[in-house]
Amino acid sequence: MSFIEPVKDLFITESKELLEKVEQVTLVLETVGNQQESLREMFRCIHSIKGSSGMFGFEAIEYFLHHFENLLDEMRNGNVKPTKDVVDLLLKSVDYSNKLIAKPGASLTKAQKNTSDSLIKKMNAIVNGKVMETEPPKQQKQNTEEKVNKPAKTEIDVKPEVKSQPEPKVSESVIEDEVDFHEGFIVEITITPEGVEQQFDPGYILDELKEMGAKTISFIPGKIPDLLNYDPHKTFGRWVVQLPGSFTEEEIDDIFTFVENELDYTVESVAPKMTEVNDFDDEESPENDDFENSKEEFDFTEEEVKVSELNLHEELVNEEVVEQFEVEEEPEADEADVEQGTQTTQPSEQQSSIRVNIHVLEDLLNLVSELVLNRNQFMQLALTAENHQLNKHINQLNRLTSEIQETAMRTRMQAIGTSWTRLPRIVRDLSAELGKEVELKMEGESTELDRQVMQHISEPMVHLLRNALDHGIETPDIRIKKGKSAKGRIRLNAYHRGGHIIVEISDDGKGIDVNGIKSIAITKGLTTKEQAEKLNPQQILDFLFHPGFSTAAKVTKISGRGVGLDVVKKHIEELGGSVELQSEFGSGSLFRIKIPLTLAIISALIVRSGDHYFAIPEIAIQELVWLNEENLGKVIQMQGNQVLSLRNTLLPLVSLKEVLQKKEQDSIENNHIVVIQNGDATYGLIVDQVDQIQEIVVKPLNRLLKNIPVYSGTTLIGSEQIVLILDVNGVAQLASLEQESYTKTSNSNNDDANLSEDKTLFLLFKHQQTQKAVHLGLVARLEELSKQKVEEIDNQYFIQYRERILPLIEFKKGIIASGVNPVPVIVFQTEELSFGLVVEGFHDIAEEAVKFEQISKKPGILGIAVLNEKSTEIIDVNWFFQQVSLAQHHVQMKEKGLVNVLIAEKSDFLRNHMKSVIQAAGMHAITVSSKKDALSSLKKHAIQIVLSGLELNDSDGFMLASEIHRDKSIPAMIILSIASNDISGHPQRDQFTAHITGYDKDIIMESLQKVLSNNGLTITG
Amino acid sequence: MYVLTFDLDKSRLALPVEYIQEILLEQKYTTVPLSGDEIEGLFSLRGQVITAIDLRKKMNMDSRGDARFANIVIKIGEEQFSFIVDQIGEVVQLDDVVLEPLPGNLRLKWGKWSQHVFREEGKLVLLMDLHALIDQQVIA
Repeated sequence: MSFIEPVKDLFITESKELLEKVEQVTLVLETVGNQQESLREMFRCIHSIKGSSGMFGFEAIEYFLHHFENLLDEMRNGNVKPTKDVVDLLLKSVDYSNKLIAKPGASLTKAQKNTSDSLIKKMNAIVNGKVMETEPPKQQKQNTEEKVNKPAKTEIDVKPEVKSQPEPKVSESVIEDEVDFHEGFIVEITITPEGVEQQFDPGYILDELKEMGAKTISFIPGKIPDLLNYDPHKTFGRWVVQLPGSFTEEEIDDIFTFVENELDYTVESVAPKMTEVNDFDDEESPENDDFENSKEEFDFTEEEVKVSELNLHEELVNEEVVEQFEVEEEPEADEADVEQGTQTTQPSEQQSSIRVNIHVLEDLLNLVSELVLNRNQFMQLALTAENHQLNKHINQLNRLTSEIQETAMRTRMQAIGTSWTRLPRIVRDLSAELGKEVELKMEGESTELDRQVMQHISEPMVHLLRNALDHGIETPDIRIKKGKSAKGRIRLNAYHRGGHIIVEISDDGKGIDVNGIKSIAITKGLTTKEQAEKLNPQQILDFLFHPGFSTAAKVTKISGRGVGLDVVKKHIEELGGSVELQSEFGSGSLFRIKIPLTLAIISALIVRSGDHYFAIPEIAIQELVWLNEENLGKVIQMQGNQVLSLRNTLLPLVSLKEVLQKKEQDSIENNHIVVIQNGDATYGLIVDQVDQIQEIVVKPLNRLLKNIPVYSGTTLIGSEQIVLILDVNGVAQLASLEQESYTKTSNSNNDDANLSEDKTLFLLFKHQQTQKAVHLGLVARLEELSKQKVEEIDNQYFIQYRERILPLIEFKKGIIASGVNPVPVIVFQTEELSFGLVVEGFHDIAEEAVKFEQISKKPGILGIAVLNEKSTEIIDVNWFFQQVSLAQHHVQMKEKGLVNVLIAEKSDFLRNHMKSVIQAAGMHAITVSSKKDALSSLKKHAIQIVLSGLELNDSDGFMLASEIHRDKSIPAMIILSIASNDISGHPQRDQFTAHITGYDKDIIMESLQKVLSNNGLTITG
Repeated sequence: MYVLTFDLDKSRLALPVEYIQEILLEQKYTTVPLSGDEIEGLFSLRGQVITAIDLRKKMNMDSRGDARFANIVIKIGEEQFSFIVDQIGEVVQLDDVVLEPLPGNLRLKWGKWSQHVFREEGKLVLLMDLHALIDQQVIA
């Protein structure tokens, strides 16, 4: 049947909603106890799903729900109390129903069948057991009466009828009827589209059945699809006729002989056993194993709404039933229950809403957005037109548009409570699993927010809730030991604050152990011991949001899913929100989520950079700084980066122009700095000009632009001006601004001070007008070394220092070359390694309790702190040690390769002799005979050492030495001469590394080895 | 199926009419810093922001220079694009022509974006694969 598909979706959605309600109410039942209104509501929900499943012919669902309904009916009548077991069963049944409904019409798997059977068995056991045990006989009868219809009844429902009937009689007759119907047929009749077209009246067929002795004729209304899917040629419902007696199927078929085109019908024979289901005969009969076979034959008398007239509107019927129920039960119901029941009944609210297709809503909102833009353009025109009449109308247009926009936006709003409905269930199941007792309190459920936003925060909320359950709340015994109530408390609270919605999830559990976090952060390498000591508790709590950080000692099923709080944070920040954590060790934690109410229209600052306009979401902006003469001084240059000193805080600066246009930022005078604070990203964004803050309609980015990290959307402002919306995190990312900024708060509490009370000695040194510092404890010595002693080999500086070769690293390249003499060197030493750090000059020693303003990710810099009232970069000595060992490693790498030796010698004989000596030693020899060739070879090959004779074709060895010496990247050079007196006291003696007399093989090798080992090389082979 | 033909450099190309929303003349584009070279910029059309792609650049052809051009506005689902082309041709009903696979020697240059050609007025027309044109990842 083709009409099924679209309607089926509707069935699924609706049934799911109803089941959700049932689940919700079930959870309330457990806490509040026997609440009539709740039970009635549950019954109604299950009943409607059953009704619609029947209409679609989803027999498995109908069959299961039938039993479910039975149980609820007993509960409604007060025969079964909602004990924990019963509630468990109800919840399981809801789960199972959900599964069934997800795939309506599909045939059951074996496992499903088992689940179904076992659940039904349990339900029946409860229904029958309870009825027999706890209730007086009178009640049972009445109960049975309610289920079964009188055959001749043609009015709406049995239940009210029962009331008015003299009880004993009716019950007897009903039971008799029931017995009568142990054998017979159930005939189901629906009108075919053809029948509808021919205005076929099924009345006479029904009459005929009645004459044959039909016990009941019921019309089961179906769900009428909404207008869009409504097919006027279809009917939505069916007649079910119970026909007792022994007919042959042919006899029944005969009735339909002439109406085969107009009517569809099914005939099913009823086996005698089936009455067990709702009879207390059940008790005696062993098991209801036959249900599987007989499920089709279920009589629909029970609880079904029965009408002999066509009544297509199910809701109407239900409403009526409800009213009557209330009247009926009032005398029996306990007073408190009734009161509660009436309090919770809010039927009118439900009726005042309608279902609207989301796409229609989206379209409407898009149109409104366009209208708003159009209005803006009109307003601009009006400003220049100076036409009062026009202005008056445009003002009105303005007001109306604003109202339309507001109203349209409201259609996107949904109470946050709708996303909380599944939370009580989660809490219940998890706390049971964890052996904890938890009470979930929800406040502010009616707080509204954008549907789209809600979709995004639903998961993070669940995550935080699980987190609170798993890590927060203690087990009852521990709680009691601590003097808390055994039952833990989790509180959800939502409220509005300034264009944002705040959702708080708090627990009264064990809180977060700051020291524990600290040590984990250190173990995981997120910080060092020294750094951690300097952080305040809030900063330490922030480690919880680091990727990969999980405090769970063991991975648990509940929250140890490898998804940490970092994901929660990321999710929220993607929405332009933030997450905050407060915790007091021992007494609980609180997570506070702050998110904008809507994503479609945001408040943003329009800025200009070059020829481009950009919008920066207001939520990310902390303040604006105008770089006038006074403020200009607060911009400090540091290692080629700019930093803004803002009220004791150092803020990295990013030039929008540099990031986006790859253009040098020219003078920043009179520019503006937009101070951005959004999650991890805290920085100052330099823009040319700031315009105004205005409401903008966010338009999604085209897919071709989505991979550019710096934009989050586009918008139109004023007269069709297109403006790109900046993603402040993306900008930070692109500017490789990875500093995690810890902002020093002015009102730092005592705890902070205590943490960093320990003062440390720092050696301060100058570097290009700025001040750097190094932890004095790490410094071995300070030296001022004569520049003459500094040797340069293979681009690296060395010095003979205490019978060792000390590698020198310049803090910034060019210090040694700049001719400082003596050279200030800070010597660092460990057992294996030592090196000297060449600086411009020593400055001072400071003893200060240092608090990092910023933890830097810049190589070689730990962070920035204020020392001697100056912002100072603190050197990461370890990084330099790594560089030194890397350099040595580099040298060792070379060692594995060939050493290239350049041989410059005029004499062919001597040249070949040297070449064979070198080659025999396993090195590679390049031979030249002139200075010119030697220099060009040096350019072409990576030469580690030059061996030169005194005489060359175009020059001599000294000339070559001075040429090579001029080039800073010189290899070592050895000059060979026949007689020693040629060299001693030569003015150019400084320009070569060594001099040997004679061409003896051993002497050459000895000298080579010495020079090479100074250079960190050895000769292999 | 109907297609719209247009000229690009020395070639004649075609796109299915089905997705074409309208044809516009030159627009004022707002450039997007850091976007791929072929992204000419954004322009607004009745309250919508449309991303314009220079098809010449997209397909590595010579620059158009100062010559006039046109925008073919495409709408796929909710997204709108605009292809900047040299000159608009005409609408051709494809049922009347024979679609042939792209000749081998054209595959190297065009294969990414087109699988078929057809002949129209003695000229070879490349039928472009619209999705291939817009689904290409743009490296910023």
